[in-house]
Amino acid sequence: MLTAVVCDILYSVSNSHIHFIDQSIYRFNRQSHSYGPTGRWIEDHLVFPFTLSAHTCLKKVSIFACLHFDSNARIRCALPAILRLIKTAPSIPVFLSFHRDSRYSSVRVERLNLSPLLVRIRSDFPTGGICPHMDLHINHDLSDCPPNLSIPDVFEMTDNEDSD
Amino acid sequence: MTDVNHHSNGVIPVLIPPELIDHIFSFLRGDRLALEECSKAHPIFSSIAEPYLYADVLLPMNYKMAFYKQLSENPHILKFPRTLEFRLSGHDFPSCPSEPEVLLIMSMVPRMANLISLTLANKWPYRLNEDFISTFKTCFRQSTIEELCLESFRDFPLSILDGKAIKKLTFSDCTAKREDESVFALGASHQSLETLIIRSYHNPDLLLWASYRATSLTTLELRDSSRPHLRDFAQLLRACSKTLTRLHLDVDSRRM
Repeated sequence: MLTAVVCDILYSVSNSHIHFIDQSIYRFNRQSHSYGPTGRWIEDHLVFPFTLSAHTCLKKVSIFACLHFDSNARIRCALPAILRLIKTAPSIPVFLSFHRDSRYSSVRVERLNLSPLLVRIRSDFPTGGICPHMDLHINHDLSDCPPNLSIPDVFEMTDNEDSD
Repeated sequence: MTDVNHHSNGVIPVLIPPELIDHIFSFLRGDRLALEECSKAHPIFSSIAEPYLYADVLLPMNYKMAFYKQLSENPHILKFPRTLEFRLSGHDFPSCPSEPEVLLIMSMVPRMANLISLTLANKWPYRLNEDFISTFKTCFRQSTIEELCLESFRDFPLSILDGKAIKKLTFSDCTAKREDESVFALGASHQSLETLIIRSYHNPDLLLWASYRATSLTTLELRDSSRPHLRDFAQLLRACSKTLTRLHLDVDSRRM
């Protein structure tokens, strides 16, 4: 079962940046969920020319991935390649952190939908298989964020009923 | 217990053991302004604050000569620095003559008995000239430095590191001097090197050197890298597969 940290987001303000801090642990069960919009994901073809299977001493892998959004708010991220890499050594704990690079995106933060990211993770780690412990953090430069932003608007999540 | 009385100027006499003052000052390490203010309060405070004032030395471009004079006139300070960071101008890109005061301070590095970490950071990328390389090589080998951080160097001659036991190496926006692969393969590996951080721009030679010489890494980080050389990185990963415990990757599909 994949364990990821995604919802109930707190935020703190420092130097005009807001960092989302994940708080609760939610578990996803493939059998009880639909997977949401899949057309909001842009595939890339990055392939890491290495695996982690030979690293017998590896205790922790941390990956900092950049999220790009096109003008239609579709996500481009190296997540497929990252997930393939993680799956080569599923027993290793992974700290997976995402950052939205606002330099190349004109999409306002309230339009962003990160659920395809979670859908992708869930579909790659079906229930019953061996999955890594995965801490998922999402940081965001909210320089374009309106002051009255409602945080749930950012994450159009439907997983709350799945929490425990 | 030492009597730290200061009767002049109407200051209230205090009785505080110097060990306690030292312990309090230890929490101020890194807060230069606070330490300077404390050191002005009493001559004894000054002597106790001094090791913390000079524990972490950051030398901006314009203060190197002043620091050199200070070291020359007060050689007892040499035992205080634990980290030393040079900010170099690198204004004569692509081949900058070494700033003479940097070489003078470098010549004092072997006498800094507690120096652990050295950072050389350029404002703009440039190549080291032969004078600097020669001085740096000699002083670095004789020093107690365990951690080296290099920022914005082009064609850095990695042979400088040969024969020196270091634990942590950071290359930020650095390229290694091109060498034949056999040169990397024949040299002794850095068994003591535990942590390697490669940040930003780098060349395949840097990774190739590491895959031959840094075979006992426990921590490997590839950060903020535009167009990383993943095949060479894969070779490095294989080289340290039996020892690596922590791996960090920055992944940006637009830049890979």
